Amino acid sequence: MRSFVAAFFLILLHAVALASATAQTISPGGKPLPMDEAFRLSAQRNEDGRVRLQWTIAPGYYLYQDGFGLRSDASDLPLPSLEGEAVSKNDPTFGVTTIYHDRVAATVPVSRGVKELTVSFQGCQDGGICYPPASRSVDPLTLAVSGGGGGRSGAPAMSEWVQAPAIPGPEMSQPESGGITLSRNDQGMVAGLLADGGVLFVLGSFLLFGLALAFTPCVLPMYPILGGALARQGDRLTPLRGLALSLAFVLAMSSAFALLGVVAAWSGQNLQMVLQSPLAVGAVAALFAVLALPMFGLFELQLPASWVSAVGRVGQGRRGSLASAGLLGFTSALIVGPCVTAPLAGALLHIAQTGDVRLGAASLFALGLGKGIPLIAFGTFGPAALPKTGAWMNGVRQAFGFVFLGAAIWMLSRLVPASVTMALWALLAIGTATFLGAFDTLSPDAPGSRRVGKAAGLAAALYGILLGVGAASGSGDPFRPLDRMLVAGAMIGERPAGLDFQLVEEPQDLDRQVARAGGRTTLLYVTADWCVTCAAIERSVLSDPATQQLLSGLHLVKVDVSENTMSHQELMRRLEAFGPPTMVFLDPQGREVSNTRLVGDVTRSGLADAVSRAEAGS
Amino acid sequence: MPAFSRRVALVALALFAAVPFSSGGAFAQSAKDVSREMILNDPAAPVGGNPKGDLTIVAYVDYNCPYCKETAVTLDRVAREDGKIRIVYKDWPILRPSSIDGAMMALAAQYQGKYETAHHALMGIKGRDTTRDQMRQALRAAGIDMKRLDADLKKNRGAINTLIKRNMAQGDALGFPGTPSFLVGPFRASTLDYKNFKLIIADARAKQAEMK
Repeated sequence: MRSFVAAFFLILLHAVALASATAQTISPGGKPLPMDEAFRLSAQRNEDGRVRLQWTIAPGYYLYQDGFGLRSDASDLPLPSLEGEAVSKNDPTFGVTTIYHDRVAATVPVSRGVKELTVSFQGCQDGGICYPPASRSVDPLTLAVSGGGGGRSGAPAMSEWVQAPAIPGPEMSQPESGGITLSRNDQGMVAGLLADGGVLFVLGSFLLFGLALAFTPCVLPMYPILGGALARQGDRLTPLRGLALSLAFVLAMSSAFALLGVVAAWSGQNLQMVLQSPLAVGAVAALFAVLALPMFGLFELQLPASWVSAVGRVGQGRRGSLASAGLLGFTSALIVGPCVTAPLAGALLHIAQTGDVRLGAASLFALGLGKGIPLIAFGTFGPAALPKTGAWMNGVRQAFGFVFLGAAIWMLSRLVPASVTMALWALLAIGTATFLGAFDTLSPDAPGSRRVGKAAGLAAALYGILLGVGAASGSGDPFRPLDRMLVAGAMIGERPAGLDFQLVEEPQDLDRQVARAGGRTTLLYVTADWCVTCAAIERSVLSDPATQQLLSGLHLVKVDVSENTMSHQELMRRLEAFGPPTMVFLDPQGREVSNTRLVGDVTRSGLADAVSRAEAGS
Repeated sequence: MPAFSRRVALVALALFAAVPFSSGGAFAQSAKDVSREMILNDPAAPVGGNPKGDLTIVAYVDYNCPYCKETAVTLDRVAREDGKIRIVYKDWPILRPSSIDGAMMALAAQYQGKYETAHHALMGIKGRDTTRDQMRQALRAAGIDMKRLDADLKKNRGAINTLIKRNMAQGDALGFPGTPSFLVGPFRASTLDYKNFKLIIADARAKQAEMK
């Protein structure tokens, strides 16, 4: 682990060194140099009286071999052989040409009485511009070079148009680590706690952190999932059994968190993010769908016997159901609600910095337990609140069947287009409506409960229809199913303008974007499609007008790491972020302002604090 | 090769010689030619993309410039996807003698309403020393009526020369060192790839909104 960290910093240092080395030589942002700076011509006299012409070529520029020409007074001279390293440049758009980088020279015999040597040459900025042919005069006596100036390079530029901020040409790949310097001040959460009160204090604190996070959007999906696992028990569910099952669920969840630490130590990767692959997410969606089916009594009816015994076994017998609760807990922690929180990042940082896997993993286990305590209470005391037998139990089972189907759709939404998700939600709503009795005929003497059920069912059916219409119109927001249709009408312009985040998905774009801060503080917001907390932040914090006002003076950059690709991993490595959501504040020079980084869920006031500290520190 | 610079001089001379016969003439070359208005809204300059777009990109390009050939495709794609970009083409033949041929033929194609077709046909030719024959072949292949083009060229040589001269004066006045050079809203830039075109367009729009 230590060697991994060392290697990482070595790479970082190397990249920084490379950046500063090239920054001096390659013009900033790829702005083309004036011709006489790109190609510096000088003349010298050799001992044998010949004149040696030498071009010093700026890095990133080249001269064409066939672009050289020579005249003595008014007559053309054969060009003497060129000294330099000729390189063959092949490009589909301009064929093969021979070019010179760095320097090229020619030695010219000068006859008596020649008043003026004229040389012409032509070249380009690699991946930038091509210069018109240049012609320069050399006085054979004084060796003074003249010409230029009057040409295009010398003309005063009209100042109405300014050079675009730091946009290099496509081939001038800029060194990766140029623009950003991360803060090194933070001591780390685990180290701080350890210094305060030892190992037990660390573990106890993480347990409390977990408890504090127990009702955040990352953990909330686990309640219906655990509820579903319990409901599958049917009549056999006692408080003791509920305790055993929820304990299995929570222990597996905590183990998953501990495993996060071990894997991070071993590979430097956040396991949760790695598991956001379409395969894993699809498999979990399928698992939920399969778990939902027996809730409707479908297994017994339709599936082949071998299926029933294979899948059904999970739910039968004491050990089987404990194992399935464990499996659900484990997948929930890693795949269903993969959340990066401040304590999680703190523990991973501790492991990365010290190599202390045991304390890091134990802290994460404690964090998981803390998140799980309310779940255990829910699993133990919840069943007591439910009626024991009868038709009610069927209703409860069916309800959790819909919850599982909902979970399956929610997982699938990370894989399929938003309108497909909407269509699935529509189907689910209409299915729920049917089960609630929306389409059953009520007899005049039907009890109130049936009437309430039918009313709820009709409401669900109406929502389902709206969702279906929305899906057909291409909308993707289940909370505004008709926005596509309304936008054509008067609603346009009423939606808040929102924040203008620049999107970055490639490491090389990061520096370019940061370079465009233009004297402002930069907020780098690391986010992902599947990040539950990010969605919550966007809904409740970033959409708040006061927060938008606060952020409007900042250079806002969204770093999207939705996919577990090399680019996205590299982006997180560069920012030393453990995952989304992470907010990094940079001063106008691209240095991270210390003690401003926000990891995990943020509140409006927390964000406002960080912004004011970042702006004061920069 | 040695004859190269003399050829350039000859073609340039021919161009200059043609100019005084056209309306305006070389000596009427005034501050107006290099004004902001003429750079952005020269009535003679071909306009592509969406003529009513909210952002203007002015492209100073040469048909023998490898990076112009690369960016011609990119700019076309970006403009089509964006839908609200107005492109002003400034033929700025500075690299090779045949660049002038290319510029004149492309501008002549404007009289049959096919400037952009001709522009992309010429930009599509590989190499950085395209011959006049290659150019004519590419134009014909792209569906340009060559008979009409030659007639238009003959008839409007003066106007086309004046326009090229004006483009040249603008390129110099803007201090562009070579081709391609772009004005994107308030920014100047050279070769850009797809992503950077998008970035600079977004920045330019932001800047325009700021200045309003």
